[in-house]
Amino acid sequence: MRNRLLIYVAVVGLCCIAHAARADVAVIVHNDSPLTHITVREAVDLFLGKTRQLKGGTTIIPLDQRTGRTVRDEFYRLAANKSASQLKAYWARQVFTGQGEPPMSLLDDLQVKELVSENPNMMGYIDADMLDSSVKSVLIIK
Amino acid sequence: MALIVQRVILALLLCIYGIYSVALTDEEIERRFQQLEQENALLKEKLKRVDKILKSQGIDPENPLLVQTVVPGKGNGDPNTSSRLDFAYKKINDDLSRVKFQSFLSAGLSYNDEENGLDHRFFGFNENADFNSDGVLGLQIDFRINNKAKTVVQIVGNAWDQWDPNIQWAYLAYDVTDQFSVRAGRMRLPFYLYSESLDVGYSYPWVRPPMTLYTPEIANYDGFDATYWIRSGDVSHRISAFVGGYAFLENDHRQSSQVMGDDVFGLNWTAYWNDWTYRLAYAHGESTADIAMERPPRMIANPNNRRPPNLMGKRRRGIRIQASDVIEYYSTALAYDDGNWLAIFEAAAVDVSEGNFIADEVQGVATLGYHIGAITPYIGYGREYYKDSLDPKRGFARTNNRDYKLSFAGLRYDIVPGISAKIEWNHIYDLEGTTGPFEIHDEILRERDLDAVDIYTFLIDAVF
Repeated sequence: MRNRLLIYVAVVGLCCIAHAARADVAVIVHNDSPLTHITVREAVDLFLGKTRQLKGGTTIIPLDQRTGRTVRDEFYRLAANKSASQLKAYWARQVFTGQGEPPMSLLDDLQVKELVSENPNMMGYIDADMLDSSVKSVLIIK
Repeated sequence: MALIVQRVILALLLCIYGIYSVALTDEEIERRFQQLEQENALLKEKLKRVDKILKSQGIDPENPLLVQTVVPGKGNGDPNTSSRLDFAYKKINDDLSRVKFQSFLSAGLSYNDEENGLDHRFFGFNENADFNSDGVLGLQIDFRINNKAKTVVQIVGNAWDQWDPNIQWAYLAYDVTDQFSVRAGRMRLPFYLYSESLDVGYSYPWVRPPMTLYTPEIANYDGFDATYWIRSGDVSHRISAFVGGYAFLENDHRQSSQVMGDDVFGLNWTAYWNDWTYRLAYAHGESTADIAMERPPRMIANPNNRRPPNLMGKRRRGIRIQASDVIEYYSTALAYDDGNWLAIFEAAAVDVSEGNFIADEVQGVATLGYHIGAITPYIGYGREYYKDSLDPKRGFARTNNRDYKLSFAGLRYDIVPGISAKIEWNHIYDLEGTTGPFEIHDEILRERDLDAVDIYTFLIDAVF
């Protein structure tokens, strides 16, 4: 009995560790958005300001998360293979040449979810565990 | 509200007094009246306190129902949805409308062991340790007028220029549509891939963009540009056109030039596909330099002296020369950055069609780097070939020909997002009897053939 409990605790613990190490990131849009699926590249191009529109001419306003947040680092690492420093250097070049501005950044997953659920032209990314019916996921990045 | 309540209470008191006064004894009435008076005083006191609390929350106590800005859950960290949303919208408004200040900085030192140092056309490298070679401080102020228009001013001071603050950018930008925007004002000339971000060391891997290509004598123009973004399939295109002119006074230690540019225009196309960036650019300019020399150049003493070109006339203690050139820049660049590998190749040809001062030029540079965590080592090779039209046969003692190769190796270390440290070694060789990328003013040094030159640089870059 005690052994089984230990094993159970160990398994749950390991799962938690493994999960924390690679938290999936979900790219989300409004439930009424015509988008159903986008590619990783499309998401990257939108969040790096290389495009403002997706196929079909849908204009998208990307919502970023505060610098230093794990989900932000994970999103750019998984989707664009960019570290926080590389991202900062990229935006420095855009900002100081007037070519672009980084997306608006919000506090956390909840804020992103709430804003996306209210605005059909916004797109955000959140920890996949935070997904619920208030928004629609168009891409899961693992 | 308080007044109404007070009046209601008084009216009630009168009623109560009226009803009870019939049936009760004077003593009893007196006692009750006093009791009610006490209660009334207490209520007044309470109302005063409520008013105070309401006022402290910014609510008019006379009219509390019109204002609904009570913040629930204040202080316990669990605001409800509506206030969180309010906060999010406020955050967005801050991002959009506020005046934004952003800065960049580079500070460090370079080292070379050439006697009397090296005078570069852009930078300058004093002999031994030089703390001024790459120092830059810039401040950018963005003022958003509305969601379509903003003004941007960028002031930059360079250590090699005595920290004189120069306005490098000052423009009004207007987004006509989501894909089309126009700007008017002072902007950087977009000759090459990194021309517009030359000052922002943090944004590129090198300590300074390779000198075979990035030696801008003219860096800004006043005019207009228009940029069009279009996406086809997985490729994003950015097409930009500019037109304008420039005029500035350049003071050298022995001459001052009034440089004027007319009919400056250009077109560039940048395509982004996955991790690739491709750029093709053309720029055209008609440049006139009115040069006043304090001291006649050595051609006066040259026995083979003939009249130099366009000699405008002698000044009291010097001469004036006017030169004009029609210059055309063609350049192409290919860059790759997948987050691990980094490769940048760029080449340019400068074609001077009606020139008497500047001549044709070919330049190129290739860089290869690799990101290992926070460290990015890189190597590169570049070449510049430039033939001056100041022909010694026409009276000039020495030309400013440039023919050299450049090898460099460096390492960038990202300390935290926003701050990086870099070391770089530049080796300039095969000078073919020219002074390479350097201008040598010292008369003795001018006679000396430079062999190979090494420059070592350590730099801290930051954006904040």
